[in-house]
Amino acid sequence: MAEIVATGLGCVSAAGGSVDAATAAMLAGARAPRPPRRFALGLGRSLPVFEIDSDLVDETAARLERAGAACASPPSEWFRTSRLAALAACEALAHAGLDAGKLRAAGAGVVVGTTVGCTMNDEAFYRAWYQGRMPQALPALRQLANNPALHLAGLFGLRGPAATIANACSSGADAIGLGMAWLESGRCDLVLAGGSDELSRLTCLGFASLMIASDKPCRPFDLERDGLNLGEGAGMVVLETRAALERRRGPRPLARLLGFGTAADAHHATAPHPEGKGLKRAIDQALARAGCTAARIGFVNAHGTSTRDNDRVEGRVLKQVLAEGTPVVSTKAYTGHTLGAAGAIEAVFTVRALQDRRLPATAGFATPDPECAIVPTRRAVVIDAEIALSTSLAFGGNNSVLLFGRA
Amino acid sequence: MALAVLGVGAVSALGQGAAALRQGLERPDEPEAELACVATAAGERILCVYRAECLGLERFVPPRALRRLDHLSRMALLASHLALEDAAVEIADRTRLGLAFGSAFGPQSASDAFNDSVMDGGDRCASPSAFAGSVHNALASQVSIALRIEGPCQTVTAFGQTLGGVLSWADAWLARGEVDYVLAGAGEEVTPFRAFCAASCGGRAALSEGFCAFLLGRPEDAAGRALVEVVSSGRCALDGACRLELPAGPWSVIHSHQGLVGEEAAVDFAHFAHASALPLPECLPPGAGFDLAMAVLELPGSGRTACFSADREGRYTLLVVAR
Repeated sequence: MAEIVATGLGCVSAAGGSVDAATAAMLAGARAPRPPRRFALGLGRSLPVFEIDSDLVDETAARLERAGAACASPPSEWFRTSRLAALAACEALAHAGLDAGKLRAAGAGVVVGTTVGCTMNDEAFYRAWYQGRMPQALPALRQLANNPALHLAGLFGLRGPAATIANACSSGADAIGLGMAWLESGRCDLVLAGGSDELSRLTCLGFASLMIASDKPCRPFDLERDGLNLGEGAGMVVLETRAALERRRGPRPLARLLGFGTAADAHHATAPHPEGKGLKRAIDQALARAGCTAARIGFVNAHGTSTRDNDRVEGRVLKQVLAEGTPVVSTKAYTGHTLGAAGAIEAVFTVRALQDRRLPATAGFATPDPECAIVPTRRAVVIDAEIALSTSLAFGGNNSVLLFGRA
Repeated sequence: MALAVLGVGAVSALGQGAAALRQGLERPDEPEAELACVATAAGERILCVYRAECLGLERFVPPRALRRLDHLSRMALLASHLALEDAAVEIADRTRLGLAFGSAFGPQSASDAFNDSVMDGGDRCASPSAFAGSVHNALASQVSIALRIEGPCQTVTAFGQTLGGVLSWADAWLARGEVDYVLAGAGEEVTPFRAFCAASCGGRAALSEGFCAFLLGRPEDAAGRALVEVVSSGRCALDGACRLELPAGPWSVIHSHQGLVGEEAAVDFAHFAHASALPLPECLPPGAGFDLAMAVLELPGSGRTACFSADREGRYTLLVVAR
């Protein structure tokens, strides 16, 4: 089996506009959920979200130009999801010593997870149609032009395989998993893989209707947790085979991608299986691919949404699987739940923590919940880990995990 | 790796099942279509809509269990049952069965219903059930629950490259030995809003809905049945500036762009609007699925068939089917 390595990381989230910035903020325990600024919610209560400053998003064109990408239209006309993906991709490529020309020459593939980014989310357009006014077609054309993976492939002129994964909240992790599969099967030697999602008013209303969005800052795994905060962002990883990296004389790898596992609960459309059957199988699958045991997992970046059901099920599974005292963190405490981007953003943070040997505190956590069975990090900690796990659970009962090892 | 196509389940305007697809395509006349007059900002457009019904789903699923399922999920569920029935394979351990679906627009009717709940009742009246059903992977989820599929379960959306992504998942799981079988499929539904978008975008004057599912296994399980392999998937210039190579022929080619794929005789199914499922150039996932079904059923004739599907940006998937 080909050895797969990560050579570039990129991330934009409310925690920071780059991997460095987000890492520093998380280690300092800084977070700032607040009511959305780009839209209003008529819910009669405030829902804090993790929103990215639009000034940062406005840097898209300049960053793409530096990366040698060709924009067929101004970024201001794109879906915000596409802009976030482009920002994270530029950072990851620069990190890996790549630009658009080198990517093209490598026959690179691109795979991106999303939820909002593949839907018709233009509320004004829909409302106009619904009310019998006949709006111009531009929003429908924008949807066709903004499929995240195909959009990125177009920006960088990539001719290799491209796919957008729409697997709800595990999409970002799944995208990295499919990228790994392409590398293993020889479909390509280099993949830009990750996830991207923007905050959307309709999505906020959807989570509010399910009564799993909290009106307070989220508290993953805490006894008093009462729901998630939505967020937006993108995470991108450059993956390549060790052999391809050596051929191009690229930089030193940041980490090895050792395993990916994915399994369905086949239980409920929105709730996880009470015993976490799918999550356990996904972890077993990833460990089998990696050829290692759970005892070697040095820390976990958990899905940790701060909802009652997710944290209870996930905590119990991790308690069963991990060695006693294995650190568990939920970085959603700093980014909010970024849906299709979450698995990729958390993969980026996992690789970075492996490199830095430091994990942030799980902000908001104060009181252990016996039902969760685990106690996440209470403060920033130094870790001595060779292997780390990142878990993602999704609507539809999907469970996906990534296993990274130090390079 | 080549994948064995052990069973085919097709739901379209031509009917339900592989036999109905074959009979429908071999008949000289077109299936019945609904003529929809769609008002757009540029004036009225007449769309020919080929609807797919889910007749016979009650044979597999109690009507009560269907109440909450949207149309796309019903088509996916029926196509999945038909593919499993066609394969006649006993799969006792459902953790060894994976599921990979593709759709460009996903469960549009559920998404529309969620939007409608907000339009009608305001923000506080957003429908939780419609929201849960509106996520792109809802149909994969519903099918995994209904069929107790506990292996991997993935959804891909990438217009002309969707089927390539779906088959990539199947290939990876089977090659690693993580599953023994994969239920793979692609489909689309047509709602009034989607018809409005299509008419406004100025696409072709026909829209079709449908779902095509396949039970896939390892090549050693083929036992004389068809084998499908992704030759390549990516982006090419549709003006013929790049040329895709096929393994040594001869091949029949479905949906060939002339001059682009080898030198073989093209089989033109383009006049079957229903076969190309959603004839908007960008909406190929179900079309590619039906192309694959036609190749597996040897509708171009016995022998080997290449299926080439591409959207107007040149994003393509090139498959070959042989026995």
